[in-house]
Amino acid sequence: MIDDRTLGELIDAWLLDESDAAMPDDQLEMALATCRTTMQVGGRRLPLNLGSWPRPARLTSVALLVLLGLVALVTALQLAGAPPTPPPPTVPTLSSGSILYQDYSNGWIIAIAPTALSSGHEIAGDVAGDHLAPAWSPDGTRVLFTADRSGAAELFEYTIETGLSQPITTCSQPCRADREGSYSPDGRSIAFVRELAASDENGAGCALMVLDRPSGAIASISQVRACADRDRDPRWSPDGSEIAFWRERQEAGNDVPEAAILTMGREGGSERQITDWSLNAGDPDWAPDGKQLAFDTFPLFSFQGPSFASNIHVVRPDGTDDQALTTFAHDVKRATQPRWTPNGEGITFTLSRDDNGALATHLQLLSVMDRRVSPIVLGTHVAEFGSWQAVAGAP
Amino acid sequence: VVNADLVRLAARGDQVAFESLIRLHSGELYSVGVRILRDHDAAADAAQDAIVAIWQHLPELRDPDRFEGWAYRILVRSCVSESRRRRAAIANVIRLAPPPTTEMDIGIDVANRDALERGFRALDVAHRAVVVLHHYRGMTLREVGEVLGIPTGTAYSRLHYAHRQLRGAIDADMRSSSRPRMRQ
Repeated sequence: MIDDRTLGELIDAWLLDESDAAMPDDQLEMALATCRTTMQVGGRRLPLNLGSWPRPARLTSVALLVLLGLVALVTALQLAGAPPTPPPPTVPTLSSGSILYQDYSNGWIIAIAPTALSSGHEIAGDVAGDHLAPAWSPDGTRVLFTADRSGAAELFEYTIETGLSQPITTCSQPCRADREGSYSPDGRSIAFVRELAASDENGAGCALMVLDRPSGAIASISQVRACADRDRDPRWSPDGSEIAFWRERQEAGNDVPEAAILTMGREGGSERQITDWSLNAGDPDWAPDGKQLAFDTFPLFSFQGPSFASNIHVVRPDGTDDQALTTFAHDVKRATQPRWTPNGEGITFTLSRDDNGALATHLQLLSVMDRRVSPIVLGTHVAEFGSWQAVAGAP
Repeated sequence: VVNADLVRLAARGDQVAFESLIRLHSGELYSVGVRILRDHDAAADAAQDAIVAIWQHLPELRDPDRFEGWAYRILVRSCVSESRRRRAAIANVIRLAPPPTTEMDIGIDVANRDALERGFRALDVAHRAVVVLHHYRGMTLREVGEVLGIPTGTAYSRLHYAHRQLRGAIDADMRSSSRPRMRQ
């Protein structure tokens, strides 16, 4: 297998290895001629002489004019007493507490929305870099996150009461990065992914680790694998005895990667594969009673492109009784990144929509009982990995 | 007249300024379009659509200094549309003829070029655009994200996915080929 640097150099050379012919004069002149004849409509310039246009642009303009007409018609109907606007969506009273998520604003940030249907505010601004993969502490007083500074990533913990962050892991040779941490149920251990520098001809590798906070000891609980095919997003079972994670692999001759959910004991050891590779499952999360795992199919950032239908599923930890809770049929809308609410009655997830290559992601709440879906955070178009805070005394 | 001045004048409706601006940038837009779509005719149509869209929407551009990235975003959208239009008539797409190569300036052999071409064509336009803007235009992933209106993380993951596809194509080619590969 060729390494990253060689691949990059090959792509550079291949893309430069094209003639840099100028745009054909006739088509350039036709486009400029089209621009010369325009009309101004509501701040937009619309061409008038549609007949002389190339077909694609002509169709676009006709569609725009039809759209303007429809907007005017709808507005007129509303003014004439059309049915009133439906009331804003309500959220079932599934959980109390704040919602934690990652957002994008000139870089990745971590934000907290104080209640459902509110806007979030940034936290952990005292740490430089992109902030990713946020996770609540079991008592809801702290937040674990990854601070990524140009690939050199470390885990930090933010304390809600003080508003301050402190490093959880110190990553030095052979460690290259620590990512994707989650607390054990008693808060005394943290499972995470560590990237290790190349120790032999196999190059850098990644492994799951567990940090024992009282002693500061870090132990590897999985084999070192190539980071592109690594184990990801470790999540503790409610009794702390097992860890669920997902693994990505790329079989020889198959251009599309595969993914599956696995579990192992907290000390490592024998793995149990929960889902079949063909399901392409990822992002597992344990139900609060430990009787089910929620997961998604075709995790959002590992599977991009046409024909990936992402949905939220639940399955028993022994791999039986797999049920799809959402039924999105293709990649225009996808449901990924499930996290159970503390009371086990709902699952937050990321609903993404691909708009001509631009991805909008919104946090939603899925009721496990009736499968109703409601928005939970307002004021952002990039909200991912949302999770609900555990609050003492909450239902 | 600097670029930003041309942009301001064109945004106010100055046709001469707009045509000067487009003649400055049409070559770059076309080159990027060719690399994304892998077809000269399709790239010319996409660039044509992009030029008209640039004229239509130029009054909405707030910062003239960001014209180039903004124009690339419009071009990529035109490439997406052009790709969809041509998908039904795929048989008419003309494969790019490989240009003459020399030992001095090219570090890529025929087999790798074919594998990259095959792997690249299997990607959708959104992924191709990230590869071209990053590897050909030399943009950082943050810049790519800004141009395409996507988070840096999304740009990163698209590039990662594209690399996997391209690496897979090259590896598959290497495994299937038992004959020694010759430089062209």
